[in-house]
Amino acid sequence: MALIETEAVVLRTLKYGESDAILTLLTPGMGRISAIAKGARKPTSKQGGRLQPGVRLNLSAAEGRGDLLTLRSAQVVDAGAGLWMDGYRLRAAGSVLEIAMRVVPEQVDAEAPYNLITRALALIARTTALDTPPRLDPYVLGVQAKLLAVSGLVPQLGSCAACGGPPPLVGFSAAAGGGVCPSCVIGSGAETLDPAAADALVALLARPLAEAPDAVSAAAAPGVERIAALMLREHLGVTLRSGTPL
Amino acid sequence: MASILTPSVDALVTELARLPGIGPRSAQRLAFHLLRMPSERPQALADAIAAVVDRITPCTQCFSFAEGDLCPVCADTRRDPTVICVVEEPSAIMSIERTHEFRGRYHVLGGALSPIDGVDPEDLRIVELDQRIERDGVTELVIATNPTMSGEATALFLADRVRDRLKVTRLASGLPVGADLEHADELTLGRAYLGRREI
Ligand SMILES: [Zn+2]
Ligand SMILES: [Zn+2]
Repeated sequence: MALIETEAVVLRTLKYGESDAILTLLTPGMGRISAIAKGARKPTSKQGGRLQPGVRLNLSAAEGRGDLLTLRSAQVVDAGAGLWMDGYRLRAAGSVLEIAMRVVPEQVDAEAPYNLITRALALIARTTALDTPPRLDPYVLGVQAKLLAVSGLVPQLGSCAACGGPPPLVGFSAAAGGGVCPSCVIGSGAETLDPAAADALVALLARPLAEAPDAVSAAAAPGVERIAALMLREHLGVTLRSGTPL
Repeated sequence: MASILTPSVDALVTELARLPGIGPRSAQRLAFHLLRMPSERPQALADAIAAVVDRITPCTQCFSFAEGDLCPVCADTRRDPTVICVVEEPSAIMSIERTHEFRGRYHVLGGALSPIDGVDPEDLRIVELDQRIERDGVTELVIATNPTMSGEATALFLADRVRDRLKVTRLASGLPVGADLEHADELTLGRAYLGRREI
């Protein structure tokens, strides 16, 4: 049986049987993978605390039958303890983990998403709670914007996505792939485009994730979330459960 | 796959195999064991299962298991109604009761906040908890959600919500009694450090 050694971040831990856990992990080299951790939920298990969502590990796992790996060992690279000190941080981290889980495919090279997600978790572990819901946190929206880019789904916001004509863009059409001009918006089923949200999305894409709080205001945040959600639904068939319902 | 068992034995094996921790082979072994027993034993088991299916309903106050309106804890007038221990599921109540330390009442949320599963505050029994706090003049909330990401997010959410009205405590989460520091995992130890107290 082949042994796999890789760095990984735990996206989700599900109870399995009496004392086992099934992990969904994000890895740089293999994208999303699943592994069973035997005995991880026993109170005497030293693994249990290591295998919580958001923890970054160096692990070794054995290939078995099917896609499920068997975890052999895990050493912590970053426990992300800061996330656990604040409810806002935990819930923002939960949103980031869900995005990774639903958007990054299995068994692909995922170096860019991996670096993005681990950087986001580290930033959220030190962030200050905002008044807006955690799902609208600038780092969460930054991850959404940048994962759209990694997936080749950057919405076209500089010129009309339908006719290529110049701004102003007044509508947003996920099917067309971006903003649409006043003549294309008629009868297109596009919804109104919030210019502040469009600007914030462009800024999130252009700037490093650490600067996301400067790129998106609380007022623009819901619009950014909506554009990202519409793109994900239209092009990947993904609806985030942690997001505002569409 | 065609079965060599009779339909009723097949059905029993199928149902047993749905139970947690029981695979198809164990289910078959249990079914054969039941068949070998004197018939009053499997009958007693069947009656016990039928009885819980018939009689158990959520307690109208705390949402634990009850037969009738109230669960045994809520019906016990010696228990302090002004201290409420909040748990995710009724199973946690059993564990806390075994310690014989807690003399208040419980509140079962019915889960924990989990963005990844789309479980939001509205999906938990938080409004009902607020109503109890007002009605019973609750002075302390003991939060005993699981020490997992979703359990912790729930605990912190509840604490933020009621902190200005009453005392909120959380079951200490740290090093197991009797264990060496060197054997603790990094997340447990990291949290224990960030949450350290002056003594
Ligand atoms: Zn146009
Ligand atoms: Zn009750």
